[in-house]
Amino acid sequence: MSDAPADRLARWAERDAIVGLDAELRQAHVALAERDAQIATLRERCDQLANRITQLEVERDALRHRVAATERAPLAHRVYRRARSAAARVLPH
Amino acid sequence: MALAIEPAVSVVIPSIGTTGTVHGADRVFVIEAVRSVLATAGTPIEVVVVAGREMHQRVIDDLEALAEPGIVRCVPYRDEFNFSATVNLGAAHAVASRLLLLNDDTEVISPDWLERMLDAASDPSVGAVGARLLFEDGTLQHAGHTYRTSLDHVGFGLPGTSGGTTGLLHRRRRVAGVTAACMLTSIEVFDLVGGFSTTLPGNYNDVDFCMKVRATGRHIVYEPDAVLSHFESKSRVAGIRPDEIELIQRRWLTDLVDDPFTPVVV
Repeated sequence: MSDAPADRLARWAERDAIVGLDAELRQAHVALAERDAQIATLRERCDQLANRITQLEVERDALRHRVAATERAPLAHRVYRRARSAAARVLPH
Repeated sequence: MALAIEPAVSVVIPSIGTTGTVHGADRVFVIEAVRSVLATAGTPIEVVVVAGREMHQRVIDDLEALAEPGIVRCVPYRDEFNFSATVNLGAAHAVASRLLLLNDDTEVISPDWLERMLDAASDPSVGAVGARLLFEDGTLQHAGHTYRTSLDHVGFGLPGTSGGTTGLLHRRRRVAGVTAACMLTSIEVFDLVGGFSTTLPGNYNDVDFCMKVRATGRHIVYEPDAVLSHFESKSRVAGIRPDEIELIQRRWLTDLVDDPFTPVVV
């Protein structure tokens, strides 16, 4: 290892560049790993949300069916009562 | 010129021979800094002043007259301002195994400052040692760096004798980094990491150096009993360039944020 000032300066410039590039590369790997982890987390959340949507759609269809059934019930009831009073009028006591 | 006694420490001081007033008296900062270092070193030293092109020959003559021939040397620096380049130039001319980087606007307060710093540096796992620096009014300028939320000085602005709420500032301890205004390292470590990065000419070059040292597995240590004045303005505008911020983050961002050395409350 030469210790002349000019040689030292040249060596340090070279080493700083190498150390700096190593550091930047390491930071880039860390950032890459962070993005991978963020993407994986978001994908997992997307899957969870998709499952939840499916579950809600099933529940919604069941509710729609119940609403329709409930709406049909009074109609049937009204038809039955009307028929019964008509029958009462024409049938002998 | 060969020295009669091999110096144990090379004190490297970049300077352009700035003058100013301290405690009401005019001074050439670098002359008083060197004078105080020579008066308190307690171990064989040499002083390498990296003299910017603005420095008057009279200041150079006065500096070299402060000690026996060869102990204070002035190395001319003729390029545009680049603090890192001046530090590297001084270190390139240093002959000792230890390097003490010092700003020219400093003055020693504690007589055994260098002894304390050398003691802290004697642990082979330590790569650099910093000191406690006080402003002219006695308040704390530096007790180590913290990088967690911003690149800053621990305890900045506290009373100079304050230990902080937990006494932390009175303890020799590992820190994220230390300022190059007063930093002891070895020529071996300096050589290993490639000195100061000239791509950071004005700011964060000490942060970068400390991070490079830490990347080798060595520690940065704050020595509270090495006390110096640092006549830097409290309101100094650093003039930080965007590319300096960009570079320091590109090299070290996650390591800077991960600062295990500074408690939330100092």
